[in-house]
Amino acid sequence: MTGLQVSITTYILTAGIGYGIAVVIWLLSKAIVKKPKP
Amino acid sequence: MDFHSILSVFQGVTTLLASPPTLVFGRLILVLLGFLMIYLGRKGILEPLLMIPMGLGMATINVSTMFFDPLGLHGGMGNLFVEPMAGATTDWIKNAADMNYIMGIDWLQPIYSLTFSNGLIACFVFMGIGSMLDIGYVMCKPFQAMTIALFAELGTIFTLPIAQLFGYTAKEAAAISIVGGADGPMVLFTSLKLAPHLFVPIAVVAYLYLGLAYGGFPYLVRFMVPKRLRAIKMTPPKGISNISSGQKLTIAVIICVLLCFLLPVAAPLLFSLFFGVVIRESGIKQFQELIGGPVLYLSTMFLGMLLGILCDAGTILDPKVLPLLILGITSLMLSGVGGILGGYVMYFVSGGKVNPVIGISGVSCVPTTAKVAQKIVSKDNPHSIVLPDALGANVSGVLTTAIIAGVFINLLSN
Repeated sequence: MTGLQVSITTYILTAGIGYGIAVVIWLLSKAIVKKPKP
Repeated sequence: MDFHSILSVFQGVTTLLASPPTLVFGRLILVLLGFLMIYLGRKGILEPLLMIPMGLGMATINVSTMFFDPLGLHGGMGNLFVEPMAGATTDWIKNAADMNYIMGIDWLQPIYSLTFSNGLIACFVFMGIGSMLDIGYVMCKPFQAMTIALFAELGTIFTLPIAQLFGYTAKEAAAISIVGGADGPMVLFTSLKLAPHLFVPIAVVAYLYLGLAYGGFPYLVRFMVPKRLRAIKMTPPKGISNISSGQKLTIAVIICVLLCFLLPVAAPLLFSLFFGVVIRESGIKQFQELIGGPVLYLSTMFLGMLLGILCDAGTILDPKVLPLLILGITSLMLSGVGGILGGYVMYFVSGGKVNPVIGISGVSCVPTTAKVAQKIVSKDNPHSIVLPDALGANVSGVLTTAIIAGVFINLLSN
């Protein structure tokens, strides 16, 4: 792989894992963080 | 007794006189640079915790050369501080013998060999950083934080092919480009894995620029973001006070296990970071005070001291090292630009509610860049509170840099 290919592959993988973690955090937050009663 | 005999008592002078003119010039420049770092650290312009030990180390090591080279690596001249090249040959038996011998001579060799060159000190620093992280800020707005952090990796991504144009191999280029992640421990870890022969200069360049970049980032922000946008009012996220420490602990444990499962090669650093977070949220005050205090500060002190001591002119004047000075600053500046672009993306996506200045905090040195963002915004609008959002991007920046380091090492190690 050339340097540019390594960079692009790395960025796509990082974005995938990063947003995957964001989804996990969002789902877990929805599931476990209780909203205050109005 | 002649003049030369008397002169030989002062080996700092005689080794200087016996060195080639370029090396003498280099030594004098580095001594002056060391003085400047101490001055700027004392004035608070650069980070004093790192710059003062590093500056003193740099100034001292370049005048402490003597006719002493027990391993025969430097043409008869050396010092009594540390020998970074000890044990770096392909002969394992010679390496073991050299290490055993030099450990009993150079006073900083045990610290260098047992904590610095194996990444332990980087893990200690990460534990300390983890103990200061509040992942509640990421939990409030995970997608915003991650988007900014990904944009702020622009330097890391683009510097790799640029470094190859300078003649570096893919592994060396990747190790250099991680400087754009602005995360000192990550730079140490990646360069040890991918380019151990460039570990010393990359680490020195990274920490030198990390100190300088934080002084330079406010100018970059003011250049890219007009005053009208810098003054956009933000308030702390509403849900932040509803998140309990137990909930933060649960998420930290799950994300730690998930990331270490995906990227075992970066697991030591990821574990160390989340260990700090978990200790913080579990309420073990004794451990939190230990890793956020003595462990973090002792590691930072030795890190600064060793980085300065490793700035010997003989190492820094290597022709392969000089382009690192250009590539390091390129990487950090591109990341800063990328982060601000990420801030603009969130500004447009949110319909103008997000202050684009928070983009700079995607460049991940926790919590410095977040504080930089708040300081800039406060000057233009004292009622705008961007720190919580900025810290969210900051924490996500640490995660994206760790992921990139793990992917680089996996892709390039084979």
